[in-house]
Amino acid sequence: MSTCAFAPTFEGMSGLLAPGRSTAQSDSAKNLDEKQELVRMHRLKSVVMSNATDRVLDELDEVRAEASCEGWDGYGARPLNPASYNFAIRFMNALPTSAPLPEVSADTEGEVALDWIFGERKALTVSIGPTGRCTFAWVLGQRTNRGTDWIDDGIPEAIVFALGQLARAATAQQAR
Amino acid sequence: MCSRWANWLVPRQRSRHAEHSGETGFAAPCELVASELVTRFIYSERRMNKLCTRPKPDAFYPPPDDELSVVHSTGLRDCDVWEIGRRHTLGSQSGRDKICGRADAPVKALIERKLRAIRDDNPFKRHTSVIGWPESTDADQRKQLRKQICLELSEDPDIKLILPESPIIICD
Repeated sequence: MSTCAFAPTFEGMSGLLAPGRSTAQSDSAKNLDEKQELVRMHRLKSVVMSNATDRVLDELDEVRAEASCEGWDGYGARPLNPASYNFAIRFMNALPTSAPLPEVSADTEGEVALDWIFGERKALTVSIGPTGRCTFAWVLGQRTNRGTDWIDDGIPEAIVFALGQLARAATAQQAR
Repeated sequence: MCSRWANWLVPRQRSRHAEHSGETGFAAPCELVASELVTRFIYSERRMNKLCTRPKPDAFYPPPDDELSVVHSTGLRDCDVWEIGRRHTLGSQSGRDKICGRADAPVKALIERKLRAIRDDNPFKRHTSVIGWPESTDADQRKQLRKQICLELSEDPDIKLILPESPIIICD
């Protein structure tokens, strides 16, 4: 029985396609996986999507150059760790095609910092470490949450969940 | 005897007056109360959001010695705060060639997160260290806790991001 389908999308957000994470082995499941990847790649190649993602990756390169020396932020921050940079590229490439894109920086400890700001008290911050560890915190209204998870074959579920909640709240606020 | 007692009293009163008016330094490190204001200078645009409306969480992340450097800015005019940044902080270490902005934070916002602002006047007058960052033997846990506090500070409406009319640089 096929169980792959188009499941790994942002919770509460429609039209978002993440890379397939199904482990199903049947022919039909593989077929579905291939079709999903085709759609995803098609969307990635669209001018709007590819420009946006490329812009963030370009920004990541700029951050790497800016944060290449000790104390680049004026407060003794460590230089950006190359392994963190590589994991950040993996993270960005695994981000669903129409997901909101982060602002990129480097944190005090030399990890890549990604920040999503959706409006007043709606924000997510993620640090990507040299082992693929993602330390994150997010705020939605009066609630704050935090956690740690690892990049393996995709973006950590907890971060996908946080982004989905924040995007949904921001959309709801705009609709009001 | 009487004059010795009077001599002891006078400096204490001056110190109290100075503390109240924010004019001069303290003789010894002193904890700032909730009604005071501190300023965190920002030397990189990466520490502000792209719209330059909010400081990013990492603007508040403590350095390895766990003492976040700020300036006690209660009662100072805007131009005086910039002048402290220009005169005492620029050029003193790597990455400090210009000030892009500053975050003005009421000490109350720090106390609410179990942090403490200790004015130590070292290495310059009004220098203050924010201490009390959460500790944990688990490095992941410690980073989580600290990131959460920094995110809350960056989203606190009482903490204002102030931009200079033009970047503050060292005077020739």
